[in-house]
Amino acid sequence: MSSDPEEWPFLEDGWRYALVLTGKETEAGALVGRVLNEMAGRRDATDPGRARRVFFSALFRAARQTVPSQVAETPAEQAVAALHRLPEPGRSAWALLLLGHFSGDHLAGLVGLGERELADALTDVRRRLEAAAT
Amino acid sequence: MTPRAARQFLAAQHPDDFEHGRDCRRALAALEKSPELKNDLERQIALDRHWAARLHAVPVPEPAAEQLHASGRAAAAKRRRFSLGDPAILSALIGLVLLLGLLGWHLLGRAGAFPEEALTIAVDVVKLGPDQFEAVEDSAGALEDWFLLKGFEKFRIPPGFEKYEVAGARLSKVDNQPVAVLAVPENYMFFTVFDARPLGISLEPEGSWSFIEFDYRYAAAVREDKGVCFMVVIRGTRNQLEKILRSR
Repeated sequence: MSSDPEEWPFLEDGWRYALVLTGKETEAGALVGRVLNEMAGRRDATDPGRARRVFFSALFRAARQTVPSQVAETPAEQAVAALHRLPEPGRSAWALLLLGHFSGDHLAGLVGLGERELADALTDVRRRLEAAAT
Repeated sequence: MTPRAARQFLAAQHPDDFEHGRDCRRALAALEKSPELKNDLERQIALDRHWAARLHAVPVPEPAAEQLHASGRAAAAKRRRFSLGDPAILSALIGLVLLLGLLGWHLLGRAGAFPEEALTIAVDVVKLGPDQFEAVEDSAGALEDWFLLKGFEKFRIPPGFEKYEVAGARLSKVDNQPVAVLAVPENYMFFTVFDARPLGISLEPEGSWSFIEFDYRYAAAVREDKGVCFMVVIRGTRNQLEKILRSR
């Protein structure tokens, strides 16, 4: 795999994750752009596996500063609106688990939870989503 | 593994991984004892599959895709300014690396930086809680069979560390590679043992320590002996860790 960001295979999933975090297509694009910009200045993200971890960790951290979106307008925003409304860190943990880029161990490290806390957070968001659907 | 522990473990797994990993298969077998938890897991799998498909089906709109690739190209361009492929930078770097390596070799008696993957392991290890270890009461050097039974054949403790008493042990996974973790009450240390090669780690010379401080309050030292890495992690500074390693 290349270390060129253009060829990183996880960029589009990064945008989907950013859409879950921001709830808005425009903000998702801007967030991914900011993170890529930040990564361009780093020397520790040359290996694709490491770059992937840095990329998704940076998105996770950056999302703390975003304001929740109240209205889902486009089909893509509507598709993830229910995920967007979930609380952190369960929302991120579950979205990243569903995208399939990280195993449980790495996921726990990425969202800053212990293994048991990660399981609890995932169970919580799944229950919330089931409850919202009924 | 109890059905409850199995259920908790499976809560953090992707549905497509259930049939693959040995830990998943063990957890699924343990869950057979509890129809209630098994039903709960089936609901989880259905929900996760539904949402994974839905999330992957979200199309990246054309303008966003273009912007994504433009940002990627911009990031790539910025990186190229410092590209290792640039002959001038490459030549300067090779000279510098050789000089520093030679100096380091002579002055410190060791070479190389702390491996990134070992740092990942150290960061994960300090987050482990006491309840995430299986209780053992034995010395570190006597746990070879314990880990063998868990499927880890490369567990080896370097000379001088075998007699440390261990309070808990576990077999973690990093990049799908087994990592033995021991909780050592003396000096509140963790010992970890893992195969160097699959993680791309190569530490030379054999038996020499590489150190790092991380998260402002932890220090780790790693060494490689015959392809197996041994790492000591403490809550403290590099100086404290060096003192501990010297005193053993």
